Amino acid sequence: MNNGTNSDPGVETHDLAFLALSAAIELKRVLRDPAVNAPTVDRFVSVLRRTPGLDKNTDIDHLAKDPEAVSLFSNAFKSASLKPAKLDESLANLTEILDSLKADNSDLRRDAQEKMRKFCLALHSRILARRRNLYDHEGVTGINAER
Amino acid sequence: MKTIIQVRRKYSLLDRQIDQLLDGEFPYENPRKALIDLKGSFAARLALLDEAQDDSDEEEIINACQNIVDKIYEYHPILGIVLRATNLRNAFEVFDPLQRLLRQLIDGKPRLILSSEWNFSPFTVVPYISQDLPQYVFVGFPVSECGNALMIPLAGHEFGHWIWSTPPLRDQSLPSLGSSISKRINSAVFERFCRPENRKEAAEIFGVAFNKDQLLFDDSYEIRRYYLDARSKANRQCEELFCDILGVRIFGYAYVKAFEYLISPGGFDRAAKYPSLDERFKCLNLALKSFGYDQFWTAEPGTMKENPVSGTDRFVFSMRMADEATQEFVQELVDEVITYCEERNIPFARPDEAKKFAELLNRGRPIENATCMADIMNAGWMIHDTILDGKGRPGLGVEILNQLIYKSLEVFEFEYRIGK
Repeated sequence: MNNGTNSDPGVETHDLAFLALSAAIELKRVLRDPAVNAPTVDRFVSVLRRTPGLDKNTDIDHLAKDPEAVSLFSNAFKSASLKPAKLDESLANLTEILDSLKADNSDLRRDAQEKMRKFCLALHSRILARRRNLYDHEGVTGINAER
Repeated sequence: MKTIIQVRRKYSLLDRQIDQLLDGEFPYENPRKALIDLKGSFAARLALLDEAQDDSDEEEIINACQNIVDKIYEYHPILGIVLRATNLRNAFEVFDPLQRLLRQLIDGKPRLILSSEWNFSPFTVVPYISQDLPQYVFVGFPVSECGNALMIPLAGHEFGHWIWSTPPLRDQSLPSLGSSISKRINSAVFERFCRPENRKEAAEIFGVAFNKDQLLFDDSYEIRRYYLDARSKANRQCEELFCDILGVRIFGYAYVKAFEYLISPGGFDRAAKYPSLDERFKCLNLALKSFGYDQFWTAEPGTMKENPVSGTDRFVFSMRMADEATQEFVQELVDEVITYCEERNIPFARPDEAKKFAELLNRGRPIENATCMADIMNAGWMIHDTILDGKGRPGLGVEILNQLIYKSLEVFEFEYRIGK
């Protein structure tokens, strides 16, 4: 996960926080007017889909490949008050929301958009909270930067 | 809302600071361009705040404010580096050859920013910090060593961090080298934790039953915390080894000698994110052998030592898991460097050529007709060692040698420009 706590760029190499916040703002517009395009949301969803556990891969060991991304998304899910406390349950719920964003049923779609918007804002906050710590401790790396 | 006013104030103060920096003089274009790019990216954050205010949504507004302040934190050290990159104490004569090397190594015309830093270790600002400047590669040299030409090969290590961590200007959907290996490193750490003997040891140390599902899913499970830590350390250690191997591949002996010079005389505690000194030297020698340099050069830790990691049983256990997983990947990292450099036609250092050039330096003459920076650096280190052994030509000291190496790099650049 690209949260900066290690050198594994994981799911994304660009600014996921900015993308999440932009998607939240765009979703607000979509909720007001369902006819507007939502390219940022689409991009955000495609980023999420690349995370182990959210890519329809049900193999439990698969999650070991990116446990920090999994924790981050799950914790954001929890802080958005979208219920499930267990990590695997929250991922399953998040997958359901992602699927419902394109649902034909407008009520189902709208509900998913609202939940996704909450998730986006919570994810944004989570990433920023973790990054602040990073600026103090992990900003640089070198040949023997910690000596 | 007071918060918005305060955040807008913070924004305008930093924005003004960027403008003031832009008023300065720039020995080369990259630092100025970086400032302009940062300013644009910063403005995009303000635009989000404007949109959030239009929505009159308090949660959005707070998030947009936090995003701006987050960037203010992020930009401060970067602006410092950009400022110091314009300082005349930098050795600007190496900028062009190094940027050319960088562009051979990394696709998408990355822009090099070299700076003199108040930190006694060459370093790079890791790419995930400067997300708004993906096409810039920052390399800081310790201020006291900025004029020491023999340190230049260490830039090879710093370039490695960028290759490992991010693909500047490449299609963002392509995984970086690090992320593709990293998945396997993560799996290796996981597999190691799940081995029967380690499960048993973990259960004893942590005082809880080992549970694979909890290791994967339960953030409150203590072993998971140490598992994540081991995974992170193994990734970092592999990254450092990858960077060392790349340094050896590009510069050969000169990288090894510059590395030894930097960390000498040792005596420090081992930092958990770095492989042990023994492992690093083993890796340097494996790299020298793999690139065919070993019949000419070896890496010797000499009397250098470091203190092993110490701490709680839990920490030591997690460290061991990380170390063991890292060791599994050393040969693969060497192979990755071989393939990576081969695909990009990175020239090998040529010991015979370096020997020939060393003769020129020994006679007090700058090197001409070099086709590879590594040959200049290797010749420089060879004569440096001769001088330290007391076998140098009378009158040729380390300072004069340093000037000769810089002069050789200028000649190298001149010859490149005139197409020689």
